[in-house]
Amino acid sequence: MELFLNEQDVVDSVCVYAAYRDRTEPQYVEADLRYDENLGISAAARAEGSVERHLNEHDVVDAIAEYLQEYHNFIAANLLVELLYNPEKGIHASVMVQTGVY
Amino acid sequence: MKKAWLIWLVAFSLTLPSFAEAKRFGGGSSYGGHSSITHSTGSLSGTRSGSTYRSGYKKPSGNVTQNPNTRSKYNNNNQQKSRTGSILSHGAAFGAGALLGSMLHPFGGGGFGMGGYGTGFSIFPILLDIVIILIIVRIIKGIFSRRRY
Repeated sequence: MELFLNEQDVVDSVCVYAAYRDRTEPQYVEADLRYDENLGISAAARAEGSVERHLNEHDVVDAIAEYLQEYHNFIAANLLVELLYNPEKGIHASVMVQTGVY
Repeated sequence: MKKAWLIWLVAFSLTLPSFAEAKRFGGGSSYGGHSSITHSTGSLSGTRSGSTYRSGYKKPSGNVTQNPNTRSKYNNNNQQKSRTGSILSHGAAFGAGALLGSMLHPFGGGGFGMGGYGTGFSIFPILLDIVIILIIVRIIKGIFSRRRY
């Protein structure tokens, strides 16, 4: 099974990831997705009253897996996440769900 | 002549790693700049197809897959809410039971339902209550003292 996450889903994932680490709720986190030709995809997240947190490409992959695990009951270990960027759709993601992997 | 061979050999050995690297990263379409990036899984493996950048499929880290804290964090909040709710629902059930009991008691409750019997003190309703309590205790004893196989 393959899932497609749009830019808002990726932003939500980053917010959830940062909220957990800053011990706050995702609605109090602002996320900024970035694409750089040299650095690839990255993100910055800032919770109210906290310092800005930088996420590299693999952190964003972790954020998406954590978000799908927490909010959509997927098993993170069974997910393969690919981050994508194009000028029309912005930053989005494709997630392959491996079935029968334990 | 020997010197020329030696120079050629040294030159060949110096150029060999760059050939190998070109093969490993798959030629011109590969995503460059890996050396300047500190990355948890090593070098970036992203590629470009047309105007789309693709990072390549990646597995999440072990700390996501084996982290029970994230799940318990949200579950704990839910448990606290449900505990408060259960206390309220128990209170409401107790109140409803008391109301029904006072309405349906054959000799009590001057104000509700049964129309004002027994406003004064009477021993009979107390005796009836005692009998009912004894019957309930017997039933419960009977349930728990059954032979178990």
